[in-house]
Amino acid sequence: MTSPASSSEVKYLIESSEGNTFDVSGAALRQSNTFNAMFLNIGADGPIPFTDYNEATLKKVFEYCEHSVNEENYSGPKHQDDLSKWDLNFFNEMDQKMFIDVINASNFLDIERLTSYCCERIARMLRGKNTQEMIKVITLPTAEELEAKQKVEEKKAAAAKKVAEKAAETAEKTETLEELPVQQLVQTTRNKLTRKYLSFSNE
Amino acid sequence: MEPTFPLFRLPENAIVQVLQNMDPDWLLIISLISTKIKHIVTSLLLKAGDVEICISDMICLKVHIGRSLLALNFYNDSNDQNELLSVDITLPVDAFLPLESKTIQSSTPLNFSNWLNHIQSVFCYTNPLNLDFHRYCERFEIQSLKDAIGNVDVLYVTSGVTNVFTKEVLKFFNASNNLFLERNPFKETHQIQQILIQNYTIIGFHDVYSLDDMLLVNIIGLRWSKMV
Repeated sequence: MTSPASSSEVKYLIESSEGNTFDVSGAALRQSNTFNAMFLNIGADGPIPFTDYNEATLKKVFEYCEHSVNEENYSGPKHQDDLSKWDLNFFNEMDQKMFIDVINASNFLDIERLTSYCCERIARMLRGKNTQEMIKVITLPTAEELEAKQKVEEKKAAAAKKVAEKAAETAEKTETLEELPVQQLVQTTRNKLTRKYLSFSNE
Repeated sequence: MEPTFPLFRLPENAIVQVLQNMDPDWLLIISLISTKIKHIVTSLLLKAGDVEICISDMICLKVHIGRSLLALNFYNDSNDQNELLSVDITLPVDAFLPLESKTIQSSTPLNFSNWLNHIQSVFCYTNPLNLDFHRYCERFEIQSLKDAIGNVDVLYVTSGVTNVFTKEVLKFFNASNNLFLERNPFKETHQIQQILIQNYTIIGFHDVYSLDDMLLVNIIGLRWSKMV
């Protein structure tokens, strides 16, 4: 189901880069400020396309959101030492590629809590290093990599635009649906009047 | 093997969030890697409230940023105080983080003046500095210090500094706002009076003074201790 509602029972369909779709609860999805800005009030007609991220990454991100649904509202970064066992397992079981994908997706979806924990984790990795050690750890990108990064960011901007357009389109459709009953009412009344007129003239 | 992480392949606001989670020590270190990273760190707008330089047998730089203190030592190279060699502070030097016991080097060699400029620019500090002179500061050449440090707001010269060097300090750093002198370096009375008569905001003078000296002073705050 993809209708706007505040109930946590509501499920939304998410579409990944592979074209696969899967369900995410409304409560989990509402942790994403990007989603809130685009779909919360108007709903989504069909799957929500987050097609810049693969299914595994999106599932991982929403696994975190589903888990933290019942946690109190986010109130700024929490120290890694204060993370629960579940949180630590969640981060530890990711390999580096998945971790980077999760940060990118979480950053795009603007999930503050997850982005903040990921960034704190990276900062922790850099503490205690001198300049040379830091250069080794952060593996500075080459010119080609910088160019590729720029292309990816342009692609992401285009994807964000696509999502925004889809949201706008959905909003337009919703408006049309709201108008339908009035049109139907007018048509029904018109039909009734015609029938009445015809029966009257027959008499 | 050290784990690696391609930090600069993350989106810019994620990089900023990573940096916001780092203490000033590590921010300074990471800002030395490249000009681009320096600009990102500067864009965090972490403003130093106070920068203090203590000169003894080494130069200690203390930068107060919010509740954090960034302390750096330079020229901490001699174990034997009797064999203190004079230092040319125009040459490149490494900084030492005493709280972390780490030596930090820049990707391009920096002399003391470059370090100072880098730190002031990264931590958005434009005010004049506070400067303290202590025992064994004579190993540093005063003109080079003046060139590197510029004008100072507070000048403190302790009793451990020789008379000759104290006079040099007073000659070169005469534009300070607050002056604290633990010892009178002059033999002639009129010489200290020339210092006392200047328009400082606060003067702290811990040596013997006369009623004439006292009457000459025309400042807001005064700390005396030994009247004749």
